[in-house]
Amino acid sequence: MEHQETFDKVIGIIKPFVKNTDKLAGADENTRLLEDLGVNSARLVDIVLAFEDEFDIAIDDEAADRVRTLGDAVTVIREQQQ
Amino acid sequence: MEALARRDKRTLALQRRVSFLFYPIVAPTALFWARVIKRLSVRDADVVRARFAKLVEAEPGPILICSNHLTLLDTIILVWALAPLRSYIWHYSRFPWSVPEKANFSRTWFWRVASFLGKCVYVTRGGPREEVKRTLGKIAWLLESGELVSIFPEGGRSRTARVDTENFTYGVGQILQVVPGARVLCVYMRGQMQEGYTDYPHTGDVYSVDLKMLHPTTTATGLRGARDLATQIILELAAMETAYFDRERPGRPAGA
Repeated sequence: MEHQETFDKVIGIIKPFVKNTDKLAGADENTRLLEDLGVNSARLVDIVLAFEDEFDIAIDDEAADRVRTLGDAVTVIREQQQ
Repeated sequence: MEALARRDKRTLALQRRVSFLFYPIVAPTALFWARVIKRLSVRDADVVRARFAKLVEAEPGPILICSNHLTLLDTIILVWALAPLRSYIWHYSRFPWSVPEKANFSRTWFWRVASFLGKCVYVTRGGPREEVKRTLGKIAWLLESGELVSIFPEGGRSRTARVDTENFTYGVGQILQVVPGARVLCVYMRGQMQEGYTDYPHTGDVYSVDLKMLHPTTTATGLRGARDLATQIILELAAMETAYFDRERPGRPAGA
């Protein structure tokens, strides 16, 4: 799967959790989930589990902790796919 | 789960001892505030306390108390509602440890001392993994030592004044993962005047308290398992809330 394709899927997965939907339209790899998109910190777990389901991967706790930006999410997913 | 460091065990044991020594001062002060200053009462307190004692004594093993959360002082009301304050002198393990957010309860010396004497273990929400692990280790050690621990599984006061089944945290699930087999005592408590979430209870309020023992289980592991366990507890509290509104405020469904 291409990098951009993964990024687009990530956007689709996090969309239901995003409060600042305006920011999502112009989101890039540096966009922060909590601060920029207004995702509730308690919902990060749901997002990580949704990544696991969508990409059929397992993300351990340490890797999950690294997910702060959209770029981090793509990196973690692609690492687990390899 | 790594074993808790000996230093942490010693610190907790010391905290328990000091807390016990100051209990004859702290407990009457809290009771004075609740009964005289705030004129609070617990409906059918004797029934609630007898039921609490029966549930705790029904079988051995760790017990985690999980309550809904509407005011900053719910812990005091919870402790007072579950047993006569004098009884904790004989059963000090039943005076539950609390797990408040460090940022909220360590701002001043008063709160730091009150937290220490009130058997509190600070938690930093969203803190570094090592710190979270250490806090989990402390809670696990306390539970396995026969101490009761009380937490608010929603992760904060409900902004909707109803048990929040959408935005709760999964920390309680992580605790149950490190203390498998722990029972969960769900406590739903609410003052008659409590409409929204507030800092302090309303003066003169009368609290209803409902208890139910739960044995949460899951076959899932990791984050998924924590979510599963936490969800079972939150749904039980939500069901207790629905029962409360059906019983106490017919025509005002939970969530309205």
